[in-house]
Order: sequence, then C-alpha cells, then structure tokens
Amino acid sequence: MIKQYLGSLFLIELLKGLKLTGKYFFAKKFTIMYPEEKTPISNRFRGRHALRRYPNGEERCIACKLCEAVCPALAITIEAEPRDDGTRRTTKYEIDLFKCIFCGFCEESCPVDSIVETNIFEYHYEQRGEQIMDKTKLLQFGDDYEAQLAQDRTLDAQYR
Amino acid sequence: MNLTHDFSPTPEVDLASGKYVKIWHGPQHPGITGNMSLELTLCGDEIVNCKTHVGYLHRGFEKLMERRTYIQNFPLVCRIAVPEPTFNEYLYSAGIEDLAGIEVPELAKWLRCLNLELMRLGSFLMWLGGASGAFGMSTVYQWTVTHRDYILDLFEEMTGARIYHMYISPGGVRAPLPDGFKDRCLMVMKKVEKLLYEVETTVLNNAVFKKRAIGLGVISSDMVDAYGVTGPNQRAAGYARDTRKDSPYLVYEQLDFDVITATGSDAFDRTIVRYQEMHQCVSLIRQMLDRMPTDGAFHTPTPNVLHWKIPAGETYVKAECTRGEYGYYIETDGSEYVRRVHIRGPSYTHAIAVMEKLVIGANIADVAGLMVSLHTYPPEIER
Repeated sequence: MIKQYLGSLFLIELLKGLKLTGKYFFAKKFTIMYPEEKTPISNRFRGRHALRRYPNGEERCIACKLCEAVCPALAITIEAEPRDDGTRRTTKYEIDLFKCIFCGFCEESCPVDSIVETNIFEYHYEQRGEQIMDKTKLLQFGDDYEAQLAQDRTLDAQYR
Repeated sequence: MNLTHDFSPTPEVDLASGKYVKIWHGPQHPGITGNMSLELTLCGDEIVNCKTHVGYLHRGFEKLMERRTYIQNFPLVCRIAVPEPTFNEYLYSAGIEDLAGIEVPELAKWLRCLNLELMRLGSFLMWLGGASGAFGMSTVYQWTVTHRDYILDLFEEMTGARIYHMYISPGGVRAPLPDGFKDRCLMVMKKVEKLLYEVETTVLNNAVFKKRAIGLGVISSDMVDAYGVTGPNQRAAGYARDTRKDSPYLVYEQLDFDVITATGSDAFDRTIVRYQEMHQCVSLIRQMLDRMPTDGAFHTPTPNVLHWKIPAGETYVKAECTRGEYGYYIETDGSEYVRRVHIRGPSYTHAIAVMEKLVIGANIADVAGLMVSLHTYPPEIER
C-alpha cells in the first residue's frame, strides 16, 4: 500500500510507462509501407471474380445458374441458350461488383469450378458502369491469373 | 432476484434559470464506440441529466431476414456487430441447426470455438485501445490495433476474409485449418501476451488512469438484475455468471477456465476484468490448439440450400460474447423463409438504460471513458 502510494507520489509508475513508450519510439516499426511493401495473401482470400477455362481452352461454365440463385446480394445475372454444338452455354454472365459482398458462395456452389474468386483486391473504375463485369472481362481475368488460381485450388483441395 | 431498484426518472431541470446548459455528445462516435448520441444537461462541468438517442444506424436486419432464404441470411447476420461478426454467425447457424435437427461434427465444434475465441481476443484488443484512448493514451491504441491486425491475418488464412469471415455456416464450418496454422497462431498469441503485459505497465498501473477510472460509473448490485446487465460488466459487480460456464455450448465444457470476477464495479474494475479475460482467451486458444482433433468431417451435408424448408418451430440460442449475453430467437413456419428473428444484444441495455443512470454526477471529460468502459456497440443496439 505504502509502496503503491510512493509509486504514485513520485510518478514512478508514470515514468515506467513513459520508458516503455520511449522504447517503442526507437524500436522497429510495425508499419508496412503499403504500395511498395505488401503482406502475404492467403490462398483462401476472396477478391475479384474470374471465370476459368479447361486446359483445352473451352470455358467451364455450363450455365446451371446455381451461383445466380445462391447469391445473397443478387449481384449475378446469367442468360443462357444452347450453342451450335448442342452444349448449354451462357450468352451473358454479369457480376455487379458494387453489389457483391465477396462471400464466396458462388465459388462454393459451382459444380465445375468455373466462377472463382481471385486474390486481387486492388482495382479501380474510371467510368460509370465499369463495375459490371461481363463475360469477356471475367474470362480474361481467368486467363490472366490461371496459374495463381490453379495453385490456390490445389493447396486447398486436400481438405475438400 | 433483486428488483428493488428505483426506476423513477431524474427530475427535470429548469433550463431557463441559466444555471444549466444542454449539449449533444455525438452522434459521431462518442468515445470511439459508434453512432449514437447523448443529450447531456450540465451544471458547470457536472452532468445532471442524460438522455440517450439511438437510431443513426438502424438498418432493419431483422425485417430483411424475413424475405430472404436461410442461406442468403447468413452473410447478412455478420453485419450486425461489426467488430465481432463471428458471434452472430455462430448463433444464427446454431439456431438453424437446432430447428432443422442437424448435428455438427466434432471438428467443426472445435473450429467454431477457436474462431469465436480469436474474435473475442481481437474485439477486446480493439476495445482496450479505445479505452486507453478515451483516457488520453492514444499510443496504446496503435499497439493494440496492430496486434488485432495480426489476428485478422490469422482469420484471413483460416477463413479467407479479414472482418466478415462468413465461416461458421449452418452445418459446420466452411474450411478446416490450413497447414502450419497452429505455429503461426501460437506465435501471434506470444506477441499478444507480451503486449498485454506492456499495457499493464502503461495503462493499468498508470496513476492518471487509476485516478480517473476508480469510482467512475459504479453499477450497484441492485442494478444488475433490474437492468439485465450481463458479461464483464456484471462480473465486475461480483456476480460469477458466464454463459460459457452456466449453459456450456460448443466445447467449453472440455476447456479449463474460471469465471473472472471483481468487486469494485467501476470503470477500473471492468477494465481489469476484461484485461484478465484477454489472458484467459490466450490460454483457451492455446488449450484448443493442443487438444483439437486434426482430421474428420468439418461440415454436415445440409439439404439443398436453395430450397431449404425448415419445419415450424421456435428456438432461442445464446452465447457469451465479449460484452455479455448474445441471443438469437428464431421462429420458423415450415416455409423457405424465416418467420421472425429477434436478436438480443447486450449493448441495448448497457448503452441506453444503464448509461443514462451512470453518467449522472460524472464529469463531462469522463463521459467517453465511461461509455467505453461499458463496452457497447451502437450497430448492435438497433440492428
């Protein structure tokens, strides 16, 4: 009790605290200089979408519309009709990224691993309406990041 | 149960006398908690009357949920309490499982429990920073938020997202732990524990903090039951009640922990209780990582979620979140949609009724500190 009283009277406790904050002043900083430095991203990260293709270049999507049905934010719009070779394909596949909440249900519901979420989270739009990702854009993202996507899926496949 | 508390309102003051002044504290984050405002009547710098106003954050979640399928509600519930969405996810899933009669696999229970405890620690770290910030020590805020970020990194690895994980889905969890998670988690726990001891030196032993927090906002023991005070606020008043102990859920029965109580019931003792609970969290996370089964199913197959009809019934599930008892009342009528959801959040009692009582007689400078010491989240008050 007396020790505590003296500690408060002579500001010893305060000085101890100041010593610690002073130490942090000279210590190595926690800060990550973001655009130059980046933290590693998990392979489960849910970022901007992409549509994948099979290795032979055929698009995976079979227009089952499960992703459209499960989407909690109603961000996906699909229109489909049979193609010339008789297979069912999408004619329109749009994701409104302003509506999307990145829950990953579309990826989980997809029976052919077509719609996936990449780990891209840094992007911007310059024109109104650019946030609506159409099929060409999504397939393009899929082609661009295929190596990364395949690697992430293999890493997680052992648990599924 | 002691219900002898005097509920009569504080007498109105004569504003025209010129002795009093009325000011609004908020709605822009009175004490780093969220959007609500306090209408304070002051005499000098002493508060003589207080009226709380909420409604700045009402988003109508409970009504929205009645028009969406069960699986589409799931990403919605985690938006209710922003800094700790996992408790909402868990309770919603637990309620749905209870009504639909789904048994959760053993591994999923452990993973859920681990997720909840990590979230509790993260939420407490953010609170600790806010509390020291409200008492004028904003350096500590930087430290604790940094360490919360390490926990968010763990979440990103485990669930794929940092804040809104959407991990504890009805039927189990969405993914098991990745390789090497245990080591990284233990490393973060070590860092957090070191930080906690530093915070003890800097904040809890600080003469200024003690001077301001001791005796501030005492919740008398007759208020506890009368107002429905739960969680650390209640335990600081000497009541050894904890939902994790009293009606154990998930795997808490198998874990080794004690209910932490204090006697002072003021802002300082509430801080101490939460500080000790953070150490308890670290210990619980370590225990879980040690004892957790490494393989097995992590998700029970559910019916097709797009046409999931749950038989008619009603249930109330509850859990101990960082602030107190969190409960979900869910009523179904056999259709694809939920009939009614009611969410019981502890902030409702703490931030509105209890706050109005406690703030009277306090100093205007201590309002932020008092509010933070009750640990309330306005998003959760109004849903």
